[in-house]
Amino acid sequence: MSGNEAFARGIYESGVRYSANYPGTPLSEVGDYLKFLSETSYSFTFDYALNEKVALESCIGASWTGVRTVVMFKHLGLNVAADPLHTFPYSGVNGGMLILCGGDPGILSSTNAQDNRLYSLHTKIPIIEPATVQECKDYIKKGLRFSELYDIPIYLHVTTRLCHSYGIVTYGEIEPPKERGFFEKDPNRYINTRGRALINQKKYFEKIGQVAKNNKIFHLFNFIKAKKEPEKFEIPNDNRIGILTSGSSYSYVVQACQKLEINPPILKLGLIFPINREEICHFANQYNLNTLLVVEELEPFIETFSKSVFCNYCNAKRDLTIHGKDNLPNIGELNTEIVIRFLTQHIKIKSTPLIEEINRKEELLKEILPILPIREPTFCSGCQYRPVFYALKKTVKKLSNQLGIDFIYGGDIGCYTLSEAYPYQMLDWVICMGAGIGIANGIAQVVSEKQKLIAFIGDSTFFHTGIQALLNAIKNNTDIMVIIFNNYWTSMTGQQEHIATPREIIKKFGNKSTTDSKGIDLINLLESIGLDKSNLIISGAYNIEALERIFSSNLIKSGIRVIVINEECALEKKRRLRKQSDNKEQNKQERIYYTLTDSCTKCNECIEYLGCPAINAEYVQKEEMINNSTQGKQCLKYYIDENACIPDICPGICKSVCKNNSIKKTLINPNFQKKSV
Amino acid sequence: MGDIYNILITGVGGQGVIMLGNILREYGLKVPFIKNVVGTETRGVSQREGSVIASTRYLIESKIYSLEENYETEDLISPLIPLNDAHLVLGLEPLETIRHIKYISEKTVVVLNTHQKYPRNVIIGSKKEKKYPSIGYIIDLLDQLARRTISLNFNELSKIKLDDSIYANIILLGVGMREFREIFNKKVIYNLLIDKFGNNSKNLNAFEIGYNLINDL
Repeated sequence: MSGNEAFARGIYESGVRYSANYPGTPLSEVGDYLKFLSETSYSFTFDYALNEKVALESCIGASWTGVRTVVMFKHLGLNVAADPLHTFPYSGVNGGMLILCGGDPGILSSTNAQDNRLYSLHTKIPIIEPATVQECKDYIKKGLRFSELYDIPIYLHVTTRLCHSYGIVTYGEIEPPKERGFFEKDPNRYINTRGRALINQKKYFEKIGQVAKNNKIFHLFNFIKAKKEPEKFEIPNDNRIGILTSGSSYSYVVQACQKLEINPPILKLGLIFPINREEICHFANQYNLNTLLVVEELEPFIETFSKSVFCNYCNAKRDLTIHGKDNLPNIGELNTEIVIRFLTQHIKIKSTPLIEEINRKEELLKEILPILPIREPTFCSGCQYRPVFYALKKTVKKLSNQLGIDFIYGGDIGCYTLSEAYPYQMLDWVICMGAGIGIANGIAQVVSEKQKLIAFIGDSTFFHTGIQALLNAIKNNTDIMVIIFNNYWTSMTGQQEHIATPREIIKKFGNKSTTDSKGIDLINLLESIGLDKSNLIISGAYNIEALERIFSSNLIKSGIRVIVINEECALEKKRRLRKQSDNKEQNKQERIYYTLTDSCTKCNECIEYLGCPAINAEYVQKEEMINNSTQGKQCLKYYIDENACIPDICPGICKSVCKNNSIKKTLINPNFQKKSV
Repeated sequence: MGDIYNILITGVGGQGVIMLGNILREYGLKVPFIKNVVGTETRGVSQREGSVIASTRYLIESKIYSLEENYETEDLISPLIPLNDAHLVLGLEPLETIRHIKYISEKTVVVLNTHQKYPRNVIIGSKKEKKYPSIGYIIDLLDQLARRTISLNFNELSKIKLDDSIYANIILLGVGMREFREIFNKKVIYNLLIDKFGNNSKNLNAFEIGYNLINDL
């Protein structure tokens, strides 16, 4: 199973009663599995919260009543939840509580690579980090017990690589959750006003001090990997090296040592914070080390703490040198090759062919990789965003030519971020969730009339942190045209439901109904927050002419204007409808597709300006008569991919933009015979 | 004790990279001589027409298939294949296969689908845009580096034999598995495909075509 599945399994096995989440890569799937669990199990509740702060707070509440909870989100979500995060540990928890947070050191699917371990410098929350898929599952139960032992929350740190890794997992015993919690009033503990907060802080810091000295906890999470017992360890005098590492880095270290055929003692940390000084010193003394190499991704967190240990507390080991970020990059993910290089800088090794081999390959890569074209991601075929950006781009081009106005695009987090890429290129910034309208607020109030603001936001992001920025813009009647893409789902992370998803289409995983709420109607909400009728426009996505009319009348108006594009995510709609008609057997049905006819003049309107991935091109060999002899010639041919086109959802945007009328509706029967209709 | 065996699948989003990865991992759980399976895949924004790779790593009992190194079960924990260490590369797309040439060396067998999927920016982009390297250059490069390269337009083969090009990935899987018969038990994999696609699926025919391809040629 994957790391994410293992987390979900761990939560199932550990008797967790309540869990909340806002979806985000790399942990999105955990929420999906838990949603399934909550609809099949009567004593487990799961919630897709509005944002990470709400998710964390609701889990704090549940834990105070004595039940076990796990809250999960991506590393950036912790910034949103940072406010309660800094105070509630003073009050502590009752039921075990884990904050499961996924980091993204390679920035594969985020806007930054922040190292969330550094949060523990001011929150003092203990951090545990698994290194294998099996540990992903085990650490949930271990972490909850740890949390209950000291009545403090535990931070479970994980990175993208492990979440998306697969491995064999041995299941454990299933503990049933506690059915009902009970909130016991305790003003001194839960009300953190001045005098009380100070007392609670002292108590909390004392607990962390105890954790740091607890050798049992240390051995529960940390272990030493060494081929030989310390006494028998053969140590050449100049090569007394030990390695300190954790998480994914541990697997790279193990692999690098295999490749180099060396067996230095490795202390693998599962508990990264607080550091047990005594045990770390013991490790160094036991193997009589003179060099300690610290291998970790991003910031020198473990390195800094281990340096402080050896500077201040460990008198016997004054001669120990520690290397880490002086030779390792603090940007990006690590891999085995980087670790091999790092180790060979400090360990004297006989065999150098491996390094030469790596060097040769890297030189080849330097030569080849730069000449390869990249692939830019784009919207799915038939996506409802495509016609909107197409129409907007056309209108903006016309207006800026006529009136000399420069349009500025505020971007946000969601599928519409892809408008940055070819062929739309309509995006001027992406910072964090809600920052599209937020930053537009400031720009719009200080620029001249020659610069006009457009801000994009999706429905889920709008409820997450966009709504405050919009309210602020309404308050000041700021000159922004806001486009809200109401696609009913949190699409980019895998179509999770949110507060404004129409209740009748919500995905059913099990038999148990988990919600009896009516949800919120986005349009009703917008009508009630002070937008007057002329400034709130609601439109579908697939009529390009209508969209162009709406944009051209609203782009140059002043004041706040909101355009809601009301169209379900095409990918989810396709899946939903096909699931409904599953029994009818797709293959036997006749279906209508769009096909390109020979009258296509390759004007590029569909492929270059619309850019639907279902429309494709390939080079074909074409025979031509040149100077009375037949010559083969490479020739570009455009075609529409039947497997990608979704005519049951998209009403043929390509057909409506084609100037030559070359795109025809075609009926295809199961034997793949085509006829025009 | 055992040997580590690495398989890399490269391609473009939608070609079935993730699906092939799933099949290979499930296979690893089904046969007794594979003691451990790990793997990973790149995902996220790369899904729509982006570059996708999946890696699968087996720890195999030494008796079954003799490779050069010996490992314990606990030694196989990193899901990432080290540089030069792929034993089998299933390349669903030529450009994406040479993009991940880092893993290909003289121990590698490459099965390459020569059907090119041009990035949009190459087809209609500006003159400054980098060109798609010629298929000859790609095959030459792979020939130089790999132990053996089998290249064929599997899309076309699939279209001719099965009326639809979408079975190219399973045909390619069949070819790759034939190359390592000691590891891939045909019966087990066949049952796995039945579990996944049903009894009458054309995917089964596709696998047969792939498995027997080298014989037929």
